[in-house]
Amino acid sequence: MGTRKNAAALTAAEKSNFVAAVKALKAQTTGRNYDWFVRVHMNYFGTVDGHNYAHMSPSFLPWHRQFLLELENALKGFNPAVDLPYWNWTANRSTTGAPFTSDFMGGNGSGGNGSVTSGPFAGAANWRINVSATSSTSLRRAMAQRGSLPTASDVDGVMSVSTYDVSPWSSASRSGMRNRLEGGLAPDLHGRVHNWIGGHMAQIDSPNDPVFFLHHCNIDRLWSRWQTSRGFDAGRYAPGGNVSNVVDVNETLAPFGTTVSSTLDHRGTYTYA
Amino acid sequence: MTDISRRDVFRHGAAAVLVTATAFGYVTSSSSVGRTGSRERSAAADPRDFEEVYKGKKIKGEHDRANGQHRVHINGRKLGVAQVQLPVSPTSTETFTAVISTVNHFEPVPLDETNNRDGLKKLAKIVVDQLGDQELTRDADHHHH
Repeated sequence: MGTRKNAAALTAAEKSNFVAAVKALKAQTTGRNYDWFVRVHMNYFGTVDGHNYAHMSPSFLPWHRQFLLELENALKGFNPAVDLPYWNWTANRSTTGAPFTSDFMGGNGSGGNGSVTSGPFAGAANWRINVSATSSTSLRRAMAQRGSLPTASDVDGVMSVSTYDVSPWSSASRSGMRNRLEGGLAPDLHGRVHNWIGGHMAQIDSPNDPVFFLHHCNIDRLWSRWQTSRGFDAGRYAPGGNVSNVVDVNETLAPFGTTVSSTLDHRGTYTYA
Repeated sequence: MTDISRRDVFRHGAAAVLVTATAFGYVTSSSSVGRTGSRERSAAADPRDFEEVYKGKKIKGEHDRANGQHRVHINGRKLGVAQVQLPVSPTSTETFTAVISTVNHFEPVPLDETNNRDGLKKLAKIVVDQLGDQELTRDADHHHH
């Protein structure tokens, strides 16, 4: 069982192991390589087979939990000691501190809106963008120009909401924890962080930036925190069933082939430190 | 949703946008993103449509009042756009219409036929700002099934 740690608490060896595994997955030429994850996120931007699996729906959280687990398992194929780290943006709020250090995720884009200039993912020779809505072949960031980082108070507010989600089970849901966390309702713990980093993170192909997985690991950690106080059982997910065009608790999450219910209790697979 | 766009909504009166609301919001609208010419468009040009140069890039926008299948081109390349529905507030039953794109995926821009009638142009300009010296690729016009 793995333990997902705060990125700010990783040792030098843990950081280098994670970067090496990510780069090995990127260099893989067949199967589920890194670009496969980018493409899947793009394909599940909107409706697939009548369902919004990944975004603006109750399955936003379980879909991304499985998405992260698939990537983490792929990284473990290169180094079994690697676990996904999380970026706690309520505590680490600098463009130059963890995780944006030169030995880990690297820093901002040049001129505030260009290619990343430091760290292991700087420049197309080190990290080539192959699948994207925009033409740059090197990773771009435009940090702190749009969006903002949520505060601990924002997080506490979302955690205090007892209902997981409500009808119409979409971006239009005017209550529930999920839409407040995802971004249809304030305070928006998810989308505004994508915008704060900018560059590729603001786009449909946001997994091109490896910090995507650290951000979503934190989102998953917060859901786990909510579950710790509310319950990991299927009764704490909504809808429970028989809602057309919405992924119910017993429906399968495409393209992973696992049900929502199988993702709910992660404690036998990984925990958060 | 950003604080700025939410302020826009309240300032301009979001109730007016309900005329373009769809039954399934994002589900209905996004399912059609990227389709070109798949449905008949109004013969009359929408007064909100635009075609101009912004920061050296030609931006063109065509609204689809009936189906929400708005079209935006930047330097002749098609941008995937989806219309979404968002709550006005947790205490209101009303929603408002906004647009997102494959480039500003997480920043809905309010859109309507009154105070936010320039929403699609605002979205196009945000995308140009994000692009900088880049252009859109074929993947910017992402198809959904």
